[in-house]
Amino acid sequence: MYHPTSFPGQQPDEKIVTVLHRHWFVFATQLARIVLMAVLPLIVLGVIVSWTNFRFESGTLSYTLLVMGGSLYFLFLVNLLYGFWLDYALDVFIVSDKRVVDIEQAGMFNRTVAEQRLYRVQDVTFEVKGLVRTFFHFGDVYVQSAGERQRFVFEDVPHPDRVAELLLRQMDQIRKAGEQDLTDPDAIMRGREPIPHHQHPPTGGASA
Amino acid sequence: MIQIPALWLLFGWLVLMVVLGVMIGAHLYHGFRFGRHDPLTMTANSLFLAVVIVIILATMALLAPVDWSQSFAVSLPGQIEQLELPNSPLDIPNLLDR
Repeated sequence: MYHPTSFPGQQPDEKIVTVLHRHWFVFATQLARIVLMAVLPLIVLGVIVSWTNFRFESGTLSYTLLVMGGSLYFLFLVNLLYGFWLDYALDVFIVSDKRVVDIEQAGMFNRTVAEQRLYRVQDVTFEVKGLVRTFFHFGDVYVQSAGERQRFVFEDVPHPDRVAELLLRQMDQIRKAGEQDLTDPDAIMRGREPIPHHQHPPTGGASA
Repeated sequence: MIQIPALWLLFGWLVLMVVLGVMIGAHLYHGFRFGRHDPLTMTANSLFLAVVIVIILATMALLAPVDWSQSFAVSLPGQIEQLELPNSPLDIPNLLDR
């Protein structure tokens, strides 16, 4: 599985806490559908050939159309399956000690990397809906933030309760370390770590 | 009855194969670019490429016996063929000759 050791925009002192993928059941469901779509026409063809006198003789129109149509159909199915695999393997949700990153492949020519600093996260909730998800322990984690992209959704991740707990723990650590200083907007805009609150210069003195 | 040249079918099939080829190429590009550090993804990439090559080669082998210079005759729906029957009762001179 794609487990990046770094991600776009990662700072030198930033550490990856966890890398999440969708649960394997999601891909297994898609695989089963593709296999069914591949096997069903073969069964129908077998029934037609065995129950009727119809035969596909080499060089005839029916034979040519069958071979051409079959090759296009199976190539399409294989391509579809591979697309599902790439979606499953290369889509990652990264939680670092400073932010959350959502890397998603949407379509063939569209890759999105969205990130949000943990100190901007306002709320973390998770949802496990349905019998299958309950049985296999996977669900969605919703991360509400104050940024441009207000809501991150980590879809179909295993053990969403643990993911939510991990995120909340990371947020607590940031707050305790005093790195959240919303009174220093310049530092935030320049992308530096804001000055911890207890290190602010006294009022009227020279700035650091 | 219409005649469809076999080459038309071949060209149509090739056009659709090119379209599919673009989609396959795009997927392969993403797979090799973003998954090159992951052995499992690289294995899946290689397997996918192998399956695509096998399907294409098998199709070419199955289409090899086809005579592409021929035309396929297709009957249109509702078309009735005129058959010439021997000793037809409508053939009045034969009836008179007996």
